[in-house]
Amino acid sequence: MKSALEVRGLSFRFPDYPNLPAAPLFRELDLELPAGQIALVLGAPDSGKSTLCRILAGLVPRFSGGTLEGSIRIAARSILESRPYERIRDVGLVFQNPAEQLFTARCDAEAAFALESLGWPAQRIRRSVEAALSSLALPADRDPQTLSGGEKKKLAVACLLAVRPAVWLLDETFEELDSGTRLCLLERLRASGRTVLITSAKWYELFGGRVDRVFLLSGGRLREVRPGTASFHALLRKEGFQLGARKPRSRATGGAGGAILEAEDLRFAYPGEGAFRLEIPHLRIPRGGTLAVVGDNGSGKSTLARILCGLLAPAVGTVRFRPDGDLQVMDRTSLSRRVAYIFQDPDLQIFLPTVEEELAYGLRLQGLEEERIAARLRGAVESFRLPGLSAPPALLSYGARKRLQAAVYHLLDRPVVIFDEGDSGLGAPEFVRLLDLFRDQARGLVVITHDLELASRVADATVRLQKGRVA
Amino acid sequence: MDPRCKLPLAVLFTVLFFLPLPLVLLGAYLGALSLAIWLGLGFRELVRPLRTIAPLLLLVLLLTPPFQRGGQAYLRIGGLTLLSADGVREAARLALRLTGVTFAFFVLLRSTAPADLILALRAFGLPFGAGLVVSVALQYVPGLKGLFDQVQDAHRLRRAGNGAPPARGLQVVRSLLPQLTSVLILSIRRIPILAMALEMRGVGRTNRRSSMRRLPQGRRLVLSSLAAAAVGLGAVVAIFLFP
Repeated sequence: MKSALEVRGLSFRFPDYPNLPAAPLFRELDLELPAGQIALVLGAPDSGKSTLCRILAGLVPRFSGGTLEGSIRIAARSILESRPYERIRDVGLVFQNPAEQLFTARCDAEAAFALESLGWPAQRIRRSVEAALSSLALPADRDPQTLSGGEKKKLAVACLLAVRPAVWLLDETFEELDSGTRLCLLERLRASGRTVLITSAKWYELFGGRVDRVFLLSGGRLREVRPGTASFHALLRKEGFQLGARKPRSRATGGAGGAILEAEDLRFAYPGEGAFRLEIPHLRIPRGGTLAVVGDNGSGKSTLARILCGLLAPAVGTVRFRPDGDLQVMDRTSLSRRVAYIFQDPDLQIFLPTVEEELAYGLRLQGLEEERIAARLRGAVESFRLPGLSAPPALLSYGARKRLQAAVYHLLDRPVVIFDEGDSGLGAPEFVRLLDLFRDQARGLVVITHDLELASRVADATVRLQKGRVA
Repeated sequence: MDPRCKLPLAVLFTVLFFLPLPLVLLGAYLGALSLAIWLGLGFRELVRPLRTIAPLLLLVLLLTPPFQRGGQAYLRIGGLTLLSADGVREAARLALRLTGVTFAFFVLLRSTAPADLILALRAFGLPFGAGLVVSVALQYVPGLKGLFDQVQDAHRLRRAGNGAPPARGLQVVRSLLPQLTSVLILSIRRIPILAMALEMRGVGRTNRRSSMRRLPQGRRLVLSSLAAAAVGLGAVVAIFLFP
């Protein structure tokens, strides 16, 4: 069968940066995918999944620098000898953080952009765009910036559906999507007949039987594995792509100490977005326990989190916090002092030049002595597996940035911590490990996730949201 | 109204506000623009641009009179004239000019979809590359606002509980500095990613681009052009009625 994607002897290393020396990322990596195959590349955080996708798309080392050896051919053309804009019918990429790749003011304009670059007639563009957007239930006239994280991913996929390049690269696209959308997307990929390479830090059961080949990215090389066997599942658990049988420490605490935070009769609507309304009659976060919040993309999970931490004011309703005695109604500022909200996108919460400054920022504001700060920082680097205090956060991998973001809030020691899609980019076992670092009899945790298995494993109670309401 | 008609009107009003016309005429132009905003977009939309430029207007009104000391003196301290007839006139002229130009472009931008505005610019011969820069800039202004809001939230959450009293007065401005720095860093970090996204969607190709959206042609364009011509002609004729 003719190869759509052929990689031979790929070796790559990023350039050295001050305080962040580069090691070879890939060594003699080989990959061959015949036309029409769907391949899954499983890789732990920091294994180089995003870099692999960007290399295959011809973006690295063009935009990043670095040393690349070997050959890459897509649709029988070497990608090293042409530029990304010359290959939009050959290869398309959905970035791990799709918000970074959306730049127009309407969903239909976003999906049409590449087709306009190709010079297609308006009528043909309109047909393709309408089909792509409607297949993923996306509105044509909405501003992409107002979509939820999962919906942005769907829009980035819709852009590929409209162009239908020969090879599709989906960088952790299945994370942050609800299970229905994951299944729908996988079915559409199969129906498209295109060659698809999906990267993931997690194994979802729906991949079984729907992807043609599975590769493990580890130690800079790709190794093909056979799904469905006992050894495969053992490998998934060993490499951290699936939760093991062991109950996480989370459930042991059980949240028997009453509620630490309670919300009553919450109602909220964004101005100018008439369709969406959040209505939560009652919500209880157990002290010493974990509440999971699950629901489809755009169901209001992040909005709820923003209300609980005081970033948004509900139109109606109260949020009460119990420090030691009775529950007290809290204003927004008081809530922000007590509830840590770890955003879906780590880049919005880390912006200082070094890991050390990032971690110490909140502690210095609290007036802690430098010696105590230094000791706590050393502990955080070890517990959260950070590359070192002098490393620049901007150049860390997505997983490392997520760990740094969690470490920042761990040091702030808030009594309630909300993780918004905290498992995305980390893999479930690594996220559970981080969650365990936050566990405390006096602390309440909220885990917003699309991974129902993870929710059932770590949470004492689960709330499912559907179109802004508790289902 | 068609953006191809609104665009020249906005330019015409900008030129008119910079001409040495009587204050009453500038006031009439501003009144007409205000009426258009009020009727077309609502009273709240009329207040929005005013609130945005309020600090600048205040500076203009306070700082212009001391530097224009001709005519009858209204306020003198020692030998220094702080407020005079010429000063008041000049301050009013500058304030009308600033508000008028702001309103002219506010009407244009607030009542036109960014994509339509780009199409209008391209209809007037703007090259694709420049149109793309305008498009990305138009997208990035609200985008940056969204980014700033998120960064502000992140700072608020991280700084909360440090025991410091809420910032007031100049402290508010000082407290914005780390947030603005964060937004700047995030924006700079996004530049190469944006460049990647643009190239992946074909920016850089040499073939002729097409466009899915098209501005209306035929009767609607003719009616729109007639309306714009009437407004423009009326504004110009008014110059001769108020010499």
